[in-house]
Amino acid sequence: MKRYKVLQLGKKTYAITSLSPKICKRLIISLRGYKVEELKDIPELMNISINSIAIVLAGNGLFRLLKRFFIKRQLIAQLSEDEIIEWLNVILESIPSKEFYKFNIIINQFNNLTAK
Amino acid sequence: MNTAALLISKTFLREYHEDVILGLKSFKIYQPTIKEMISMFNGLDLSVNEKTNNFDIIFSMPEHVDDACRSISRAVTLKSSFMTYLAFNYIRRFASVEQIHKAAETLSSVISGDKLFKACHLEKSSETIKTEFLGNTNMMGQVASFMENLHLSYKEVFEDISYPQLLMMSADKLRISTGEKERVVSGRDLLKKKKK
Repeated sequence: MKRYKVLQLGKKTYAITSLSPKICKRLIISLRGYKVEELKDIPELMNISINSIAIVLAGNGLFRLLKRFFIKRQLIAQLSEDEIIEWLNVILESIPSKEFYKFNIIINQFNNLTAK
Repeated sequence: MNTAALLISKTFLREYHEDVILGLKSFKIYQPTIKEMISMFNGLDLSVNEKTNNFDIIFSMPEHVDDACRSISRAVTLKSSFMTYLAFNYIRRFASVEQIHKAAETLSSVISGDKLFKACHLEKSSETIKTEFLGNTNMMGQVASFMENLHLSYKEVFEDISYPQLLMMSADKLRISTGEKERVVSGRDLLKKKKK
């Protein structure tokens, strides 16, 4: 059975299952804007978190940019700062790092087969 | 037909495949030749070891995730480059990383010929070998030993015959057994001998 997390935004509910490689890439690149030294600057960090949440919720469809825009607006209007951080936590937990690590080990074995 | 015969005939005809699900579609992974294997993992540099922590893996993901998708797309579409391009874009967008990991596991079992070797009961030589073997550290050495042991040409080893088939051919080649053969004797056989 697939494990998934549900996030509710207004009337819509979003189920987050496992992320595709493209979404993972976009999410991690967007999170690279986080700087620990600038944690006092809350508005900018909120923008980054909202952007990364919207990237995951919008998905990979053709109209993802439009979807992302509306989701961002909804997130700003309906969620408090604490809730945004909570949602970001949920999304960060869904990054498949363990699977990627196992995949890397398999690839390393193949590389060892080609040349040790 | 028993499973071993079926697997061997499918391997000879290059029809043996394993199904993997990527996104919503099912793809077939066929047994690759050495040339196809090398093109799959060409330029894929993932420096991961036991010391790599979770943060490093996540941080290096954007740079490596495309390469991972590319190697899997090459594995599922062996010959056609246009199909590889389409599969690469499909996998990148719709497959999950879990599915890619499962596909890699299946690919490794297909390349090593796990099912084939399990189904065929190969005879083990009982002789104790004191000489040490050197070499076979990279694929070039393996190609050379396949060519020498099986008396095949470079093209046949590199492009024509699949890697699991080469492994099976060299493992099950007719050879002279110099040591004594181990015999498993059951209790009944021992009783019969005593009665005589």
